Amino acid sequence: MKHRRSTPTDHKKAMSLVRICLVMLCLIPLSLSLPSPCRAQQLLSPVPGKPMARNFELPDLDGRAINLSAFKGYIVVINFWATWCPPCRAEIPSMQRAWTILKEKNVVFLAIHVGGNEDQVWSFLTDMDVDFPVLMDTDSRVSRQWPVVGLPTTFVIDPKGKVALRAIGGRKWDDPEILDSILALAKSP
Amino acid sequence: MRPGFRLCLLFLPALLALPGLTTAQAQSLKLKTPLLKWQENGLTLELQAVPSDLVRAFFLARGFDKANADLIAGQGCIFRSSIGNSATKANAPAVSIDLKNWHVLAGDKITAPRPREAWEDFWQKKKIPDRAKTAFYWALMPTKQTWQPGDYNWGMISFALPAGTKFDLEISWQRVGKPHKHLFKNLECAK
Repeated sequence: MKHRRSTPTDHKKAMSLVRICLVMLCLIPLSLSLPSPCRAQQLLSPVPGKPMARNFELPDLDGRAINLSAFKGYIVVINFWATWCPPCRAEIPSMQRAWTILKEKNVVFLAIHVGGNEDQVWSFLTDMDVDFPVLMDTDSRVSRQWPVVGLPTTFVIDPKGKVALRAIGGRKWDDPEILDSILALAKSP
Repeated sequence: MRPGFRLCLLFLPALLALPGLTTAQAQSLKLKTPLLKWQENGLTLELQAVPSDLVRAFFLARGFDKANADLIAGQGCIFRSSIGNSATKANAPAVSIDLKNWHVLAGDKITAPRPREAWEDFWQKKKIPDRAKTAFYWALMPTKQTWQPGDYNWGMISFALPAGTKFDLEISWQRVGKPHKHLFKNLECAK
């Protein structure tokens, strides 16, 4: 088989294609994103009837099985997200700040990553300096059992294990209004 | 395979492991297709056509092989979207949509956006990695949903139209049980 020797023109063409690929890859996460149309408000909606939260068991990033029922008596914030979901990425830093404020107040954060793999998530979390627990729902089994239609969706579970509040789309989680709504669940009937 | 494409594939894993882009970087890189921003009767919506090269690259990065990424890019006139409840007060009414009730008017044909459930059935018949199927499902705008004040969602909307097709889109939504409609004229699939 004959091979044609690469010429400087071929090399230039190849490098220009690589540059195009690099720009495209940079654009991927953000090109599919849009700013929140509702970014100004920081509202959590009450869930009608406050149903009992469906239990789940999922591995954390170290492979340890985490069971939701272990957190009865705590307020639990459960965030369904993915690293490639732009509004999810946008809200993670405020979630970390909220976690820092609330973790000493009987509030647990569980971020459930939908799909993907541990390496992608580790890389992202390291960059974002996140240290609240992240669980892996690689086949999205739990995400589809819960009433999650899109990402991000977040539920707040009261200390009795009932789903009390919900947010579809990103929020600024360290907003005082949101922190108050979460903490108020400690006193809810 | 062209040398540039081969190199691009070679670098792909490393690039995907790079830390996420900053907001400033994100804002500095914009699609050149027209961005539609609109709000009426409780619904807020943004739509923008995504070029097929970007669609292909997104799905290659999510675990699809080249043939299936090409298939999505080729079959799908893909728009990115962000849709939600425009209300700013907690006690404002909810708004609901069902993409199956939206109408795509192209030439003399009227269709609906291709919902993620239809794509899911389509992928079941093909041998693709589960992680790719999962990513595809969650990357599309959910078909049916209700947003309370402050809620919104994002995702791609897929129209079964060839690249470059011009079409009208009639959207519909419900607010306090009352149906609403709006017609967007002359939208265009990216090339």
